[in-house]
Amino acid sequence: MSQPSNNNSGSGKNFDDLFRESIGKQEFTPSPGVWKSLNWKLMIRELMQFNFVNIPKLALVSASGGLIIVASLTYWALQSDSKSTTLERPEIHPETLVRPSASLNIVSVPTTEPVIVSEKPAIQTKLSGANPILRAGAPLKRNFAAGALIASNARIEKTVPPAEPTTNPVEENNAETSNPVSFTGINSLDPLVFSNFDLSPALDTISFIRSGEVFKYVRETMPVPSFFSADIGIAPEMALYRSNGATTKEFNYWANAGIAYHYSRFSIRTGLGLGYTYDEGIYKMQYRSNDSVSFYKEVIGYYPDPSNPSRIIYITRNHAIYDSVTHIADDRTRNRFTYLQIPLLLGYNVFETPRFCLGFEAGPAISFLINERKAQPSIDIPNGRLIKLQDNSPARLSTNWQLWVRLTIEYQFTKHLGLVINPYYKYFLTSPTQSPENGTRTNQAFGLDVGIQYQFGRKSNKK
Amino acid sequence: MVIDEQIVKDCIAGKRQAQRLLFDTFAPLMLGVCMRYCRDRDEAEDILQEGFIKVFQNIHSFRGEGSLAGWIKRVIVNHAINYINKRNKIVRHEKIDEIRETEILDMNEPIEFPDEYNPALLLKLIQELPVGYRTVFNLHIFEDYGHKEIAAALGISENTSKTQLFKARRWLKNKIEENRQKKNLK
Repeated sequence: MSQPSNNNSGSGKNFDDLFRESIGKQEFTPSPGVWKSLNWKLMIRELMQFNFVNIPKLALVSASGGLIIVASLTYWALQSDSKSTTLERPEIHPETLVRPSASLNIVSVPTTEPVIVSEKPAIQTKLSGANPILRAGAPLKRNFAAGALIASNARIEKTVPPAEPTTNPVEENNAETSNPVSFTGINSLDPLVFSNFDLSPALDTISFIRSGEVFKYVRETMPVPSFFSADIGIAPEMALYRSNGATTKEFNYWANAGIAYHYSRFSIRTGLGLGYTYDEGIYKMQYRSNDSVSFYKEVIGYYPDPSNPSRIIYITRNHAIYDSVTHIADDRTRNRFTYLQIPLLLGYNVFETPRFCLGFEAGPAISFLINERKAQPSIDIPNGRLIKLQDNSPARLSTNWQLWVRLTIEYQFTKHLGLVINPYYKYFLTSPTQSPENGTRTNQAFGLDVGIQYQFGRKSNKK
Repeated sequence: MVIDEQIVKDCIAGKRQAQRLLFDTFAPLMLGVCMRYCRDRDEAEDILQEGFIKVFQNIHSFRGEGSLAGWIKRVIVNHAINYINKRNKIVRHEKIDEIRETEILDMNEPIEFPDEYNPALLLKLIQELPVGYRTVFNLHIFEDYGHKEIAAALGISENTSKTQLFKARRWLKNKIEENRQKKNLK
């Protein structure tokens, strides 16, 4: 530490002391807006610092409680809903407004062999109901599984007099379709009637008589499911930064929102993700501290030893000696970066049921660095002064490209609302970081995206 | 107002009331520090704001071994230096060799100051100093930085630091002399 120069003023006042004494401890009252603005900036910084791990305990408890309540209500609602839902009902139902047509060849067979087939070219008859249902087509072929027939979207119709009501044996609980007339034999017909016949894909209708009544088996053409879905979720992620053989791990957090278009088993998805990623801040500090390295004794008095006058006793006082060595210290901090990412993923569902769906998605994604917050290194050096602070933190690039692969697991609570869980892997095609010392680093990340999905305009269930 | 350990802990926890208390206690003194490094009050208040954000961000690193005011001042001064380094180009090409010996001798001549030193006038003079002179002068006079430390902090050579300090003193001396003469004429 240098000593101030001694430039004396005419009044005997040291030039430097004049300033020190006059304005060294001068105080000014800040404008009222300073705290307001500071308060606002602090609030914004706190919001930006929200990273899913620094949530206050009270907020965490409240959120957990809220989640439990919402889950309980959802479960209760689902239990109530499941009693009336027809989500998994077979697509078999009777149509009551079918009259026997003159153009339809109906052949009586024994009740145990109840099949009659139209051998004529296709005839379509508009019946007295809302639906065109009677179509006769190509001949039947034998040895085709009845289960497959039913699964391929067929319905069974019974021809009855128009005034006579019927009952849907499948949807007995459905008040709108319940009918007092029995639909006898239909259950036993499933395996018996169709097990010995093969239907060509072109054949839409089988008619048969059982117990004196005419039944028709009509294959309905099911539209290919196509719909949009929107989803939101959060994704904790573990990023691995590899450089010169050494790997460091950091945990990142993402909040994602996406929209997808589904066509049959395929899908295309895009969206926005806001993420907090972390990296190590590396600082080299040069500082000088007043470390006491030794001491010397100052003689402040002496006297002859009363017992031995020829000996002098010195009275001394210790004075510490400080070094002026420059110290170098490394400090590690945790820097946080905010990214916006936009993926474009193509997906395919490998396995589907009405409630459950398993598939995968893959595609590119681009990330933009929108904010960075570098933590200050610890500069509290007792009895010392910082001379130089060198920032050796890896530099972040403004954009980077990634390749995503992720497994998609969906579970539908209702026809529209479902839970999505997507474990994923990211490979960074362009590294987001560039270390001044170690050059470009390669990165990859593993994460788990958990969220909810809402499906729009879904008219038909997946098989 | 006495800032106790609990308030520091509350500030670390991010409690706004404690932060407000800390700000209200130290802001007037720190604004005085900032005023010396800037040309005007608006700029000083900007530095004060950003400086206090750094104070709140890093208050966890305050170990309580020294005075809190000293620690806050150091953070504010460091931020002021960074602010100046970013916003201003400090003249770095001057060398002490360029200063003539006669000028150095002139500096040792007595300066007559008015009997009553007006702090507002002295602060105004400092604020009117060119930024390079002002920064070196402040660090040397008020923060007790040596030329080596100033050189490291500002990224300039020691000789440049000495030159800047010398010129700052000479500039101030001339201004004070001018003011004195004006006062005498009146």
